[in-house]
Amino acid sequence: MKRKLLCCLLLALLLCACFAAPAFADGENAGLGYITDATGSLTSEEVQTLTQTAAAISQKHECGVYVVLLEDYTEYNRRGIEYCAEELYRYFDLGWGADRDGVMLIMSMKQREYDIAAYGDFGNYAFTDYGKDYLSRSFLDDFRRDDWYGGFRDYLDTAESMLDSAREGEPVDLVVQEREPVRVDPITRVLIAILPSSVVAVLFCGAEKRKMKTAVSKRTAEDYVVPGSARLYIREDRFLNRTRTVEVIRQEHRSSGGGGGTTVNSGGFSHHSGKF
Amino acid sequence: MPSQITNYQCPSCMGPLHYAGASGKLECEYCGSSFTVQEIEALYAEQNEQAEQAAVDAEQEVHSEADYEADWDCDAAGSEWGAEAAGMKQYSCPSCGAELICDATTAATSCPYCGNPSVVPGQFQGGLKPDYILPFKLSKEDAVSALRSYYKGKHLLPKAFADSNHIEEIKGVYVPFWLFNGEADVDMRFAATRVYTSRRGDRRITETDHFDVRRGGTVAFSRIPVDASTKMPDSHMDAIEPFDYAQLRPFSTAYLPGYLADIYDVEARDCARHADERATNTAGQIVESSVSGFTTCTPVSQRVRLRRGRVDYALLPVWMLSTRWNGKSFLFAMNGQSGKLIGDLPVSRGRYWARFAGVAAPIAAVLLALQYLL
Repeated sequence: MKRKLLCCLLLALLLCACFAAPAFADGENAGLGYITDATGSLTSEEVQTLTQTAAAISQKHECGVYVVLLEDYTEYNRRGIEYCAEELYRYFDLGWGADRDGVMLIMSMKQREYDIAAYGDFGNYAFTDYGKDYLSRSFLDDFRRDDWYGGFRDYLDTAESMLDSAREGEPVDLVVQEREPVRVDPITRVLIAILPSSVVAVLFCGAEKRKMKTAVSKRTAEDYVVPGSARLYIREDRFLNRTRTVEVIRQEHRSSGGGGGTTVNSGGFSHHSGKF
Repeated sequence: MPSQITNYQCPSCMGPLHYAGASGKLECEYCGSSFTVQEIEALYAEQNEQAEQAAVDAEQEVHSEADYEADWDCDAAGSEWGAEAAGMKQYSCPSCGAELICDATTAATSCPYCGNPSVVPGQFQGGLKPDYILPFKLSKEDAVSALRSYYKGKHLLPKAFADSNHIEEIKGVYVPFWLFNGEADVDMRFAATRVYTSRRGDRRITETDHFDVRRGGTVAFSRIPVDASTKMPDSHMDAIEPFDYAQLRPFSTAYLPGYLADIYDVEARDCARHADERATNTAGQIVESSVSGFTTCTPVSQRVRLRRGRVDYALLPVWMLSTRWNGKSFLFAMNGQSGKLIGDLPVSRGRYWARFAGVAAPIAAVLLALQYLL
């Protein structure tokens, strides 16, 4: 792990030295720049332009907006692109303010996987689960056409508008539609109330009525069993066969659980991952 | 000529004696003297023998037609008993001389004229003699009090029934019972399963082990009682069980004074089916309860072989109480030993529907309110 982190650090320092000089101007980021391209997919001019835009957005909203482009994330963390994103974010102490608010788009070209990781109270507030999905839809069509610069521009533009909304107290989130009240006519309502209550009353009165009839014949003779006389002389439990059924457990869709919000893990991050 | 009836009378004052359950002695209603069963048995042994002999003689007596003078035309008076005569017996009360017409199964009664308790020892001759008797422990007052308590907590009982209800008749009866002894051999097969459920990833795996389970065993039964009198409703006699047989005594007519008693009129073999059914069901339940550790267990087959043993004949104490209400008779029975009282009660329609509404209305109101609130 240490060796990988060291590699990561060296890579990052190299990248920073090359492309991220303007980013250091604000003094908030000690290591990784706003735009880090380790794959050569962007030209130096494109990186510079994007870095300036990202820096401006970050400064305006006090919430870091980052892009990291890797060839193969497994060189840094084999557990998954989300873990890789968290490790880089923490290691380079990204984000703004005491809460280290920020959002990072990390992409791995070999696997064509991406992850949007948000951190900090404001970062997670501004980039909700639905918001990250919304953000991903802004750049995925560009990336599928290998339009990297266009995709990152769209990413930064959308992130900026989302941060604007969040600052205004309305982060982009799933709007839970109020369910249309089911119209039930009064007669049906009365029937719905009467039927179950009648069933309960019938059961209750049935039990009361049974108490009125106690002269009943006996069908058993447990009172007359000679104490200690019950003896078992055959006791066989013969195994016949085993049957096996496998049932796929249906996962509850996150957004169907009752609205929006952000699912934050124990490390303080929220993620949205996928393929591009 | 010796009487077929024995009136147990106080050796001190010649007043009628009756068996008192509380003291376990025969007590004189007039002078208050009390005597043990053994004392009275010894005192009346000879008289009982004479009464039994008189009963035999009466059976053998050939009725000769009376040689009446022809001045009264008696032919039109009365009619022949016909088939009913076979079910009746005629005795003479030794105290007042009144003629008593009783059922053929009556073994103890009281004279309707002088009120003296009368025992018919001849009814217990030979094979008709019970092996045991379970003496009364509870009195008539206990039975009346038990009936009053029985009405309590019966919310559907018509108010008028409990308020204006008068006990029409209350009698302590020694009811003849057959007591069946035996063993049941049971062989049962069950289809049983044991289910394990585990979760691997997004899959739930359910493994079910199927077993053929067999259990065989024996269960011994002692003295399953079956009422041997057609006069007594079987369901009432079943429902007042159980009796504590530890209090059983060898039969003696000295326990009978003050109570009614019948001899059996249903043969043991005719009652055996009910005892068999009860023994079979219970033996099956006991064997089935030995099957454990399975998730499901379904009986597949059951074979029960009954090893029928001795049958005892006993008289067991029952208080019978009858009431009338709205032209209908209601019969209650109380175990004369344990005090367990049973009997069917009338149901008030008004109370039934009031109760129904009392339960249904609040629930319906809550459900209705919830529909508008939620």
